[in-house]
Amino acid sequence: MTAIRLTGVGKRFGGPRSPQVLDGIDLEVAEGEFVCLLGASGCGKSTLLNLVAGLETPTAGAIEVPGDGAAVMFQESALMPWLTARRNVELALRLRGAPRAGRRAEAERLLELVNLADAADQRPHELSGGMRQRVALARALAQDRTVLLMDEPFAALDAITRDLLHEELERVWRETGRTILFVTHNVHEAVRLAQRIVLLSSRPGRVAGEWRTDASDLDAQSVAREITERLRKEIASNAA
Amino acid sequence: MPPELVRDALAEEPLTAEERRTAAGAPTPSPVPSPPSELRALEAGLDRLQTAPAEREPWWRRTARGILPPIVLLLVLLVAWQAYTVLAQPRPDLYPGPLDVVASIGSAWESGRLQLAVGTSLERGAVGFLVAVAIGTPIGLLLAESRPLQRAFGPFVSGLQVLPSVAWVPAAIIWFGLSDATVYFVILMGAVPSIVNGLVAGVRQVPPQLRRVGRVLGANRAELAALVVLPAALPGYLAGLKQGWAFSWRSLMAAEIIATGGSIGFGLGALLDQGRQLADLPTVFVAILAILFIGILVELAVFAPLERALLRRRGLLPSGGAR
Repeated sequence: MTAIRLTGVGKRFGGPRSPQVLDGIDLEVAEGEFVCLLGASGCGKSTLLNLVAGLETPTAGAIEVPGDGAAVMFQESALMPWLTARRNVELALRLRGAPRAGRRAEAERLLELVNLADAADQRPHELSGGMRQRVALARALAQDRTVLLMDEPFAALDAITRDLLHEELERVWRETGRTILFVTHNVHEAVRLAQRIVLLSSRPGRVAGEWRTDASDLDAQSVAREITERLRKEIASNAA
Repeated sequence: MPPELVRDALAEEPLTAEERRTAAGAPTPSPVPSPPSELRALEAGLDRLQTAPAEREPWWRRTARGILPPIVLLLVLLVAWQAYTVLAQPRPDLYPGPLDVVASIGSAWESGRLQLAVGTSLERGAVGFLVAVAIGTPIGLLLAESRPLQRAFGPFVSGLQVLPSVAWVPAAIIWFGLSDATVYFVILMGAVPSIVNGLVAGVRQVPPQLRRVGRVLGANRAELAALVVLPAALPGYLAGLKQGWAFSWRSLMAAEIIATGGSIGFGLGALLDQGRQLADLPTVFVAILAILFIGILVELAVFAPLERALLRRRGLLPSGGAR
C-alpha cells in the first residue's frame, strides 16, 4: 500500500521566470515506511515537505496523501508558549475534533509515550530543547494521522540529546506504525533512522539517488560514505 | 518536575508506566507501550540535567525590592524640599513646603473636597476606560484580521494617537455642552486609538510559525483566531490597554481642567482649577499629587501584576527555567 505518491512534482515561487525549486520529483512512500529526504541546504527538501503537508501547492505534477492529511513536526518545536505541555497536546486533540471528555487522559497517554508524563504541567520555557521536541512529537501523534512529516526536527539539539531522540523516535515509529517522511541534511542521521534514503540534488531539486539501509552496521558505514561522496559531488557541481 | 518522580526514574529498577499508573489508582484508557527502562532512565537523567528548577522569590521580597527604592527616593526628595523651605525661606504663597501641602491635604480631606474629587475622577476614568476597551477591542480585531482595512485606517488611528485628545475639548463642549458626555468623549478619543494600535501590533507580532502549526493541526479561521492568534497577541494587547489607561487618565484631567461648571461634577481637574483661581498653591499641589498617586496606584495594583503573570507564564521574565 502506498501512503504518499508524488508524480512529476515541480515548484517555483513566483512567476514562470522565477527559478525552479523542485523539478520532476517522483516519489512513493509505502505505508509504515520510514523514508529520509537528504540534501544540502537550499535543495528544496523543506519545500517538498510543505507541499506534502498541504501548506503550499505544487506548480506542476500531482501529490497523493491519505485523505485525512498528514501530521507535521518542525525544526522549532513551535509549542504554544502560554500552554502547558499537556495543554499543547490537548489543543491538537481539540482541533482534530476529539470529544472533550477523553482529551486529558489521551494527552497524558501520549506524553507518557514520549516519557514526559512528569512534565505535563510545565510550560515550554521550563523544558529543555529535547523535551520540547518530544512534546511536539506527542502533539504530532495526537493528530492521529497515518503519515508523519518531520522537517529537521532534531537539527537544533546537542549530539547527546539528538542521539537519544533518534532512539525514541525509532521506538515510537515501531510502536505506532506511522509512515514517516523525515527531512535532514545530516547523512548519519538519515542512515541511522531510515529504511530508505532519497538524495535530492540542488537547484533545481531532483531525485539524485536512493539507498536502502536495512542491513548491518558495517553496511551502514559504507552506505553513509557512499551517500556523503555523492552529496559532495552534488554540492560541488553548483560551483560551476 | 516533582523531584521524587525523577528519582524513581533514576533508580535501579524504575517503575514502569503501568505500575506507576496503578499506584496512582487512575484508570487506564488503553495500554501504553512503555519505553524500555534503560532509555527511560537516560532520558529522565538528561531532562534533569538540562533543566533548572525555577526559583521563585517570595512575594514579600519581590514587593520590597520593587517598592522600597521609590519610597526611599520620595523621602529623600521630601526632606530636601523641606530643608529648602526652612533654610532659604522662600515666599510661602509661591513656594509652599511639604508641611504646607500636608496641612492642605488635611483641610481638603476634612471639607470632603478631596474624597469627592478623587471619587468623581476615578469613577469617570474607570468607566471611560472600560467603554474605550469595549469599543477599541472589536475595532482592533477587525483591523488586525483585514489587510485592506488595516492599510486604510492604520495611518488615521496612528494619527489620532499622536493628536493630544485635549484638542477635542472645544468641539466636545460645543456638541455636548458642559456635561459628562464631553468628558467621556475626550477620554474615548484619547484611549481608543492606543487600544486599537496595541491589539493590531500584538497580532502582527505573532510568530508565523504558530499560525502554520495551527493550520497543520487543522484549525479553521475562527479557531485559529481564538485559540492561537489572540492568546499569542495578548502581551501586545495588554501593552495597548496600559497605554490606553494612561491616555484615558490624562485626557480626563485635561478635560476636567478646561470644562468646569455646568452638570460636570467636581473632579481632580476641577480641584486643580479651583486652586489656580484662588491662587492657593498648596491645593494645586494636593491635586497634582492625587493625580500622580492614582496613576501610579493603578499601574502597580492592576497592570503590573497582570503583566507579570502573563510574561511569567510565557517564560519572558528572567528567572529560572530551561537552560
